[in-house]
Order: sequence, then structure tokens, then C-alpha cells
Amino acid sequence: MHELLLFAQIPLSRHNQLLRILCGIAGTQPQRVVERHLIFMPRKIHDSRGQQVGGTQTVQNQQAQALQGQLHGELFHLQLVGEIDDGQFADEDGRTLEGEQEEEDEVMKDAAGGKIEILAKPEPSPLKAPSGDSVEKPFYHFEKQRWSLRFHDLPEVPVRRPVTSRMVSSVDIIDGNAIEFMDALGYKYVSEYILEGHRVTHNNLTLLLHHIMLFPPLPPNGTSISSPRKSLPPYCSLVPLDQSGGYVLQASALVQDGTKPESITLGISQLKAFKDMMKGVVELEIGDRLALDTRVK
Amino acid sequence: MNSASLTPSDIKALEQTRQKLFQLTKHLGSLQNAVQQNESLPSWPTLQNTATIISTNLLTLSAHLQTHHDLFNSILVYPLPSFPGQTQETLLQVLLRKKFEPRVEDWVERGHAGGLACETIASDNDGGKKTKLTANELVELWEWAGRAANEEAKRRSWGDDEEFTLEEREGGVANVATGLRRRLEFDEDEEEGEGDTEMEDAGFEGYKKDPERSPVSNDIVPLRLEEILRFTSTGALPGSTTSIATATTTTNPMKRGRGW
Repeated sequence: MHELLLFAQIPLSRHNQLLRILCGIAGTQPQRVVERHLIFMPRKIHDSRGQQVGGTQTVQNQQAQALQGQLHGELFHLQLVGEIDDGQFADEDGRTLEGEQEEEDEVMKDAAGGKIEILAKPEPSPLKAPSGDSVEKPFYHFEKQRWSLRFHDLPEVPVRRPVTSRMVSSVDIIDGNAIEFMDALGYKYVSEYILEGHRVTHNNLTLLLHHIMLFPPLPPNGTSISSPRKSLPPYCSLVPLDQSGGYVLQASALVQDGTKPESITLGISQLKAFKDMMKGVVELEIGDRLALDTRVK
Repeated sequence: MNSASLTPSDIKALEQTRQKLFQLTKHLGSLQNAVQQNESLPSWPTLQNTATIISTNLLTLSAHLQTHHDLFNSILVYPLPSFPGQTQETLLQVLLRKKFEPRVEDWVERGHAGGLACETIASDNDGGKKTKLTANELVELWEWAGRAANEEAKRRSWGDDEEFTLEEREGGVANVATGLRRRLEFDEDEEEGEGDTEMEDAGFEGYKKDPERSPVSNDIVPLRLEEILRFTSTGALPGSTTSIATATTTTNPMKRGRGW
């Protein structure tokens, strides 16, 4: 599958306004999106040089050549993406399923100090279930989390193409332990983030107005995190990646068959039309190709 | 002024007037052209720029006229005998005309009436104290007020609302001194009712509470889009050139991310 993309960045103060505009244009209600993204990378990076350094004259057979290509080709980051519910975040007081996590979260709050208090003002938000049915609250079960495995290729070099275009593939993992699977695949956990925002569908375009939230830092006791967290911290303790609170608008069109130039052209023209329509409201730009580079260096 | 001839400085003042008027007409002309020639109006920024230029022109011109008020008042125009009165009759008439043209007279009258109205309003508003603001002071006040109010408004967090800040909402809207004679609609129940129908969809629930949940100060420079995309692609935190996979602890990069 091919993905055509345009990006724009907006400050927090314009978020609601823009969301309304997008809904108005699309004529639909926005869909709330909260996704947990786990980033993985290959555990071992092969030596980029083949065995035949120097003047080897050996003629390889085709199979061996193909294998070599796979072995020494570029390696990419992969992502596991899982949708989560607002209700699955821990309580304000850090109550989760695991007892030991509770303490950690408390410490974290203290250690984080002044800044985080501004960022994470406790709020009697609707996130918190009414006190009566706290037992039934859908707590987060890491084991039950459904994942889909996502691969994003390095975007193509934009030659006379006003949008970012890249190969993507997404596979739903419907059974089994995804984390163990990644491990078996030779991939190790790198980092994770929560993508939060709203999705609006406009004709063939998906408009995702979102921001990236990071998990609150753990107390500096030197423990490294080599695996994804088993529980979710309270929502209000998440730290936005962009400290200014800005949002990113990503307009995308998915093209099933990337080899068909006419489908790609159609997607591009629709994205361009949308970009022109939004002129003056928000300036959609092509994404930086190297910033979207998922290769392992 | 007794002397019949003009001093060099007087001539210079006249010459400056001519230049300033020339500038003004040039800019007015170009604006007129832009509006008339294109089918659609010029873009807002262009219009605004032109308007700013023209108003600056007007300001400098009026300041100039003010400074040389005495001189210009005492100058008389008369044709020299050598002036080609036969061929340039229209020009001569324009130059020698002492009254405004009827059209211009209307403008002046309107402007004058507007100015007077401003002054009466000012005296009314002062609650009988008789301290009347002059037209100039009024202009100054309004110039200041627009900017000051805007700046003040920018400092508040407005959330979803266009009439009250979050702060005011927390303190109860009924207590807000708006200073307006018109009643703002702050009937909470009514608004709740509206909200229910409008915001019923799950999607809107989250969005309603968004700004309050993550109150972030405005003076932090936004992260560059590239940095965000880089993080979402490889997990490389802003400010670190390598992926955090190379860092042994998560605390350090996290800290870096927070303090960015």
C-alpha cells in the first residue's frame, strides 16, 4: 500500500478552531483517536559490507545473491500500534492493576517537580469513572492489548511530487503475544509514545489532528527500560513531546496499489485540492523526507 | 509675512508637500489599480500593507502641513504674466481655485461631523466631569486600546469559549464585570443543554475538555515538525542525534525531552 501525506503544525490555541473547520469541511464528527505506539528496531545490525570484499571473482548464483541482498539491505524500524480507550489510563492517584506500579507513579509525581504540575494539572476530568463503578472500570491489560504491526518505508524522493509518498504496510496481529513475536523476529524495543487526537475523514482523505504524548519519566534509579510498560500511567501525567502543546495535522490518502500511476495521481490531486482549500487556514506542507526516515543507521 | 518673495526654506517646505502628495497619490492609484484590474480582491496581507502605507503617507503629510501651517496659510497663488493662460486654462483654474470642489466639500463636512461626534461622545462618557477628550486624545486612546486589549486577551486561555476565559468560567461567569451594557449570554443551564445535543458524540467529548487538560504555557517555542516526525519514525528524541536505543537508561533522554 502507498501512503500520500501532507503535514501542518498548529499551536494549541488553534486546535479547537481547526478541528471545527475540519469537521465542517468533512461534514462528519471527529473520531477520537488514542493510540499506543511501540517502536522496535533490529537487535543486531549486520555489517554492511559483504563477505566478498576485495577482488573476489566468484560468480554467485541468484539465490545466494537475493539472500545477500536481504541480509545486507537496509534495516528499518517497525512499530506496534494499539488503540486504547480513555478509560484505560490509570486513576489520578496512580491506581492500576499492578500494585507495585502505584508506588512508582507516586514517586514519579514527586520527582517530576514543578514543571510537570503545570503540564499535568489534576482535573476532575470525565476520564475518571464515577466513584460508584470503579470496579468495572476497563483497566488496561497489556496482555489483552491488540496490536498491529506497521512498517513505513523511507519516503520517495519528491520529484515533481508535491506530497510525501511512502510505502506502508500494516498487519493486524490477531493472536499470540506480539512482544514475544517481535523478539523472535530479532527486534528490540526502543521507545513508545501515545498518539492522541482526532480523526476526520473527508472523501478519500484521512485528516488526523494529533499530538504525541510521552510517558512520564521514571525516577532516575538507573533501571533501563528494555520492554514496554505493562500499565498506563494516569492520563494527566503524560508529557507532550512538543512542550508548547502544539498539534500536528496529517492529511493522508491511502493508495492500495502503488504501482498504478493513475491511482497515485488521483490521490495526489485530491491531497492538493485539500491543501488549496485549506490555504489561509493551515498551510499543509510536504514532510521532510529524512525526518520520516525509518532506516536504522 | 511681509516679504513678497519666499525664502529657500519655504520653497523647500512646498517642495516637500508636493513630494508627499505625489507619494500619496501614487499609492492610492496603485491600490485603485489593484482593486479594479483584478477580478478578485487582493489578498488580505497585501491590502493591509497598502492601507498601512497610505495611512503613513497621510500621517506624515498631515504632520507636515501642521508644521508649516502659518506659511501655507499666508501663501497666495498668482499667475505670472508669462504663464500660458490660453493653453493651460484648466490647470490655471485648478491652481487658482480657492474653494474646495463640491465633492471635496462633502468629504470635509462629513469628516468634520465625525470628529465633532467623537468629541460629544467623549464628553458624555465622562459622567458630567466636563473633562473632555480632544479628538487627538481619543484617537490615541483607541489606538492604544485595541492593541492592549488584544495583548491582554492573548495572555488568557480561552478554551472553547469566545466570551469568557477559563479563569472567569471557574470563578463563575455571573461575577464577571464586563462593563458592557449588553447582556452576554452566560446562562449556564442553557449552555449545558446546548452542549448536550451538540457534544453528544464520543468524538466531541474529548475535544471539549482538551485545552483544560493540558494547560501549557504559550511562550515555549514549538518543536519543529521534523523533530516530531523523526521521533515518530525512529524514536529519536528531539535534541539527540542518535536513537535512544543507544542510551542505556530511559531517564536521561526523557529528561532531555522534558527540558527541551
